[in-house]
Amino acid sequence: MLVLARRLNEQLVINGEIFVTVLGVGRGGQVRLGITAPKHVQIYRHELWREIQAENRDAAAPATLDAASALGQLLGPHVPSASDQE
Amino acid sequence: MSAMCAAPATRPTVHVQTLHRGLIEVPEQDLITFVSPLLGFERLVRFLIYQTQPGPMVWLQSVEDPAVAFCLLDPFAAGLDPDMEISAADIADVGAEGADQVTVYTVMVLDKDPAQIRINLRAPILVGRLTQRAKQVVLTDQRLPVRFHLRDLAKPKV
Repeated sequence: MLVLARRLNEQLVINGEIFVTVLGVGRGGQVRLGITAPKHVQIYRHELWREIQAENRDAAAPATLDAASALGQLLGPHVPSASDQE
Repeated sequence: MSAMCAAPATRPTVHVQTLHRGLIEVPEQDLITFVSPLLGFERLVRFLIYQTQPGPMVWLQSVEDPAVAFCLLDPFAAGLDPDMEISAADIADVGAEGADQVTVYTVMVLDKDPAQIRINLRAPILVGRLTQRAKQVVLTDQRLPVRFHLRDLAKPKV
């Protein structure tokens, strides 16, 4: 990991197109960062990114059709249950 | 073999190995291309959306990895009407000119225990209906839960 020390209002440049500015340093240790980057660069808080990744992984676990049909009970009249067809 | 080639040459077909329907043949233009990946599945780009029953639930089958299939729920078709604000930039990214050209799906976690079945309202999947381009977006509204349990639908709205 690259470690750099920066002061208030100082910046970092990543790849010549992403600019990170230290906007504030709080007493409680909180640091406010301003980031400008091209539109295609996705920036998330790490906790959220990790949470969504984990949820996607859970969703991709081989799911059974039985589990899918259990949905009918939860969604009630909105979803035709498996027994409504055929 | 020739009997299988019913589609005209202008609509080439591909075979996709699916988790729930075995090998199926679909027009290549029906495949979905992710322009921005599903988080955690960055290497998977091409998918097929198909249904095993009518209704708001579809399967999102990876073309590249037959073992990866997501169950998606169209929350609007399911009558949940979540308060999701989709940005114009995200709509443009999937090649749509307006929200009416976009289908919104939520990633669903299925479970044998119905109480554990949940959808991700924070990071829906947008599919451009005319372009078949898709992306998973992370909405900025922090009130939208990553884990919304469908059992909570039974409870009165807050």
